[in-house]
Parts: sequence; structure tokens; C-alpha cells
Amino acid sequence: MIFGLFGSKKKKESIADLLAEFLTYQQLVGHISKAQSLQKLNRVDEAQQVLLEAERMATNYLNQNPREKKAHMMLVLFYSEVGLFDQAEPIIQRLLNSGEFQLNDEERLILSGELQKIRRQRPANQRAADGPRGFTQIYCCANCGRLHNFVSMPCPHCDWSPQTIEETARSIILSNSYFKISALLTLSRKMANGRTADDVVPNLLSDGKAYLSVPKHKQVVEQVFSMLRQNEHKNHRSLSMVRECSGCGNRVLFSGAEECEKCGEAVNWPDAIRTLACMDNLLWLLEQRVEVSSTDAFSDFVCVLVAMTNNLLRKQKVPSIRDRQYSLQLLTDMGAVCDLNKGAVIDTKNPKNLKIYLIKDSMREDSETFGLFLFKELEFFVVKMADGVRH
Amino acid sequence: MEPVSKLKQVLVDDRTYSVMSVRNGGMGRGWLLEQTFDDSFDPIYRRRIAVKTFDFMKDERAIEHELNIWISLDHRSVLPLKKIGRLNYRLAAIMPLLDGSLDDVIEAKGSLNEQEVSKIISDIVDGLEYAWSTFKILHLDLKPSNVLVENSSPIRTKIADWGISRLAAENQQARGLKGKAASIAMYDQKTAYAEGTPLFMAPERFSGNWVLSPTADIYSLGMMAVQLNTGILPFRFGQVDPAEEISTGAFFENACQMIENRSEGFRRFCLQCIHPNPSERPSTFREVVTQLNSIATRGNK
Repeated sequence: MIFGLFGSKKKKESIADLLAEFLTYQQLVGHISKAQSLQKLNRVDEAQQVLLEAERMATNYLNQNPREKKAHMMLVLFYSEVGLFDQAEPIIQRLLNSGEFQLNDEERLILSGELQKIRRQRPANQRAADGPRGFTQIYCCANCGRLHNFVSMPCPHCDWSPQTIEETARSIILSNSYFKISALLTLSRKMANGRTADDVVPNLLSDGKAYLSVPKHKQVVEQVFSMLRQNEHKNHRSLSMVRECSGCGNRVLFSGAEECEKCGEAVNWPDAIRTLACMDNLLWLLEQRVEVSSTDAFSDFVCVLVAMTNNLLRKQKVPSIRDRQYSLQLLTDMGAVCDLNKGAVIDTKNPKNLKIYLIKDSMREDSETFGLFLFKELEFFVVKMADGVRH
Repeated sequence: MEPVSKLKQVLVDDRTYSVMSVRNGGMGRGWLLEQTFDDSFDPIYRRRIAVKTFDFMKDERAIEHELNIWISLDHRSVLPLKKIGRLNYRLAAIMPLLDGSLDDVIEAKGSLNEQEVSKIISDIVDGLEYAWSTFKILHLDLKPSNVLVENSSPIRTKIADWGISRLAAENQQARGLKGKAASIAMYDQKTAYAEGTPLFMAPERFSGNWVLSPTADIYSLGMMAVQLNTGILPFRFGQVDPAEEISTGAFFENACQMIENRSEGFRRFCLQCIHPNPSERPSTFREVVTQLNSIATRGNK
């Protein structure tokens, strides 16, 4: 082990990093971690008690130090961590806009990012007309066409990352900030058939240049590009790495697989990897096989799926109760998910009792195979969203 | 996923850590890890941490049981469970990395004097008394490798590995652990009879006919006191089968000889704790504390 490499200070990337040296914050994190651990053990009431205690701690500190920006940030962090975004948002806005607090560039950037994240994580029916579209920011990889939600990290599907400022700008454009989810899915499908992003999206190259000509945009692109270069050297996790068979290296296909389809090696995946494989399969099916809908529910379902997949892959963060409930609600709202040409239709109105219908007149050669694949993965997904990811 | 032996780096929640060492245990693995970035102020993801992962193929309920007990314990003599997170997508218990265990102390120093031993045992009893009086929990697998060392001078210890600990059958609800924790902790009283580390297990536990009480842990404390003070356990390894010495009580005679020239108080304490007959041992942790205090007082005179 090369000890000389250790000891460098971590770059500040989040509110947690801004507060790291703050003693009360450390106590608060201790409480939040304990509550999260208790939740994992299904001791929900006790977790709630610990969270109430943590909230009291943060609010008491704020009451004693109302002029201290860190006291406000601490409460933001608490509300964000426990999913009370409605309470976090006005505090960030006050920090950013009221002029009561002196913020440096780094603090302003981090808080703006947090605000953007919070505003996006709002269900469609609670979103303002001028708010960001989609449940979270998602991108279509300019190399493989698959959807992901960290533009500052290599693609979790193909490991590609932009190598120039121009490529980074185009990657940022290929997102739901500029395209509807249905358009991104179409792009994804066309790219899977061998076409390139530049070929499918008219004027992508010139749009990239135009984007960079705006100084504010250029600054963002440069920041993302710099983060990409840093993150390239971190131990990047890709889905293919996680899903490979320990015996032969083959990609294990089904989330419920007991053994590798190629070599027969037992698949001893923990629940988290099975869930990851399931969500990745569903996402692939949405990208490649499912009849694309332009409803808010469908778009949000794609976004939630991308966000949950990436959070589980990169942060090992299992879907929160809030996201799980929202996913099930979206399935109900969607009413049905159809395979290509509506050859197979899955009734999702009651997610806990999914029904598949094969429509003979519309069936293609592979409708039954893919319809059943979609049905099985949806069934597994519903169980995980209802019960949570365990071991 | 790569085999564990080849892993150089692992993912702990959203952090990447280098693997310093991995130790296989009965129900899982212990990982000593180090990360590149020095988040020295992060209360959970320190630069160096220890993580325990679990083998879920064996018994899911046993693992839930351990975590339920562990997360409830909050005492200076108990190794804290900082967070239940994930290591390479498997459920993991994240804890602070300490300086080693009492096993390492024995290996390094050979033996400790009576006062040092009394202080260590006293610290451990503190934690055991807390777990017992607050939650009615017994550890049942006390041994030097399960007692971690926080400071080496003077030695400060923390009890680890509550994997086979048990809630006593009576009053568990009233004594603190609530609802689910209590029911999970009670999941299988029978396994308590069979599990443990034989050389530190009270003889009656092999009979399958004993009542959960502090005397089981007090026996293990006595064995540890003998080993810490003499450097060895009271068994004639290689000459007589330890199982035979446990069943005949010969180990007790061996211990009498080994600590013959120790102070009266220390000798009496050790021998009472490891007495083959549980009714001859101190019946409560408080009684153990009283005896240890009197040894310390005499030592100071």
C-alpha cells in the first residue's frame, strides 16, 4: 500500500462537506445515521424518535445562532436527508437570496445545486409550470444512448465520458432540460440500432457550440469537465461489473437468476444487486421495447428509475420509502405498459396484481418473450418497491 | 464480482476504501479499510474504519438479531455501531477502527499484572452491567479477540461482536428493547446453548440444560482474567482434550495451580468466576465490580 497517496483533503462538493468541521453537525449526522440504521431494521417508531431529537438539536442551534449561515445549512441538510424537501427549499432560498448572509462562490454553487436537486425531486402533480421538467435531471449517453443521471461521472452502462469541452456541452444538451423524456427514449432506441447522437439529433454539433458561446453555460461546462477528469480516476462502478457472473464473467440477465445462464455458476447476489439488475432491465426495456408515452407519469417513471438505479449503483443507496411509494403510484397512474406494437400489454393499475395480456393481432415474433420478460421484472420491481430492499 | 481474497478496493456506501485486511468469522467478515481522502471530520466515514459484513446464506434472522442488539447499545465500554450501510452491495455494520484486540495485547506483552487485568475486566463488566440492567442482554461470546483496545496506555477496552448475545427470557419487553427488537432478539433461545467459543464457555452451557444468567458471562470474564494475567488458558493442550478438562472440571485445578502465588483477592476473584458450579460464581455483575474494587483498593495500598 502506498501511504504517500493518503491524507489529501477532499474537495467540497456538498452541504455536508461545507459543515464537516462543525461539531454540532457531526452530532447531527450521528443521529441521522442511527435513524437510518433503525429504519433499515424496520424499527420505524424508534427511528422517528431519533429524527425528532436530531431536528430539535438543529433547530435549537439555529434559535441560539440565527445569524450564523451554518446553522441554517445544518437544517437544510437535515430536511434534505430525511426527504422533507418542502422545508429545505425556503431555507436555501433565504440563504441565497435574502442578502442576510455572506456566501462565497463555493457555498453559493453548492446551495444552488441543492436547490435545483430539491426542485426536481418533486412529483409531477406538485411541480410548478415554470419548474424543471422530470423528476430528476437525466442524460442520454452520447456514446451508447442509455439513460443515466450523473453527467459528471463516466456512463454507468458503457464507461464512456466526454473527452473535450465540446463533447461535455453536447452531453449536457442531451438531457431532459432540453428534450422531452419521450424524445430521449427515441434517441436511445435509434442509437441502439447503430446511429450516432450527432446523426439522430439535428444540429447537435452547432447547438453545442452555441451553448458554449454563453459565458454562464461555458462556466458550468468547464466545471463539469473538470469534475469528470477528477472522477475518472476514482473507482468507477459500472453496471456490467456488478452484474457479471463470478464464474465466467458473463452478464447475468434476469434479476431473479439462481444460476448463470452460460456456465451454471450459482448467482449469490445480495438483494441490492438483484434490485439493481431489475431496475437496469426495466430501464433497458423502456429504452428499447416499451411503447413510449408522453404522459407525466410515464416520464417521471423513467426519471425515478434512472435516479434509483444510479443511486443504488454509485452510492449503494437503496430506494427511499418516498421514491418507492412514488414509483408504485406512477405505475398505477400509467395504467398500462405495452411492449412494441402493443403485442403484449401489462395492466399496472393495481401494481400488486399485475396482469399481462398478449394481443394476438398486434403480436410480433418476439412479443411474448419480451412481454414476459417485462412482466417478470415488473413483478420483482413491485415487490421491492412495496417491501424495500433488505440484505 | 471479484472473490474477496482478490479485492484491493471496496465500496462502502458512496466511498471507495482500500482493503487493509479481511478476517473471516463465523457469521461473516471483518474488514479493515482505509480511504484516499481524509474526511477527518466525517463522524461515520473516517479515513480508517472497520466494517463487518454478514453471510446471509447462514441465517438472516441471526444477523438481524445481532444488528438489533448492537444498535441499541450506547455505552463507553461497548464498540459503537456507527451505521448500517453497505459494502459492495451487501449489508454492513460500520464501526470505528480501534488499535486491535486483547488477543494482540497478550501476544505483544505476554501477560499483564493484577491491577491492569482488574482495570480491563472492570471496564468490560461496566459494559456488561449496562447491557444487562438496561436491556437484559448477555454477550455469551466474551473472549480476548472480542474485546477491542481503544487506548494502549492505560488500556481502555470496548466489547465487540454481539452476534450470539441473548436477551434473557423474562421481562425483555419491560426492560427496554422495544417491540420488534425484542421479538427478534428472542428469536431462538435454543441456539444460545450451542454457540460460543468452547474454551471460554461455562461448562453448564454444554449440557443444554441451563438458565440464561450473568454467571455465563462471568465465567468467561474469569477465564479472560486468568489468560491476561498468566498469558495462557488453564488447559493442558496436547496432553488432555480440553473438552474432557471442561467436563471433569480439571481446568479449575489447573487454574488453581497457575495463579497460586497471586494476591489473595485476585486469586479468589478468578477462581470464583471460573468455578465449574455456576452457583459458586458471583451471581451479578455488580458483585463482580465490588470484588474488583477491593482488589484495586488493596493494590493501591
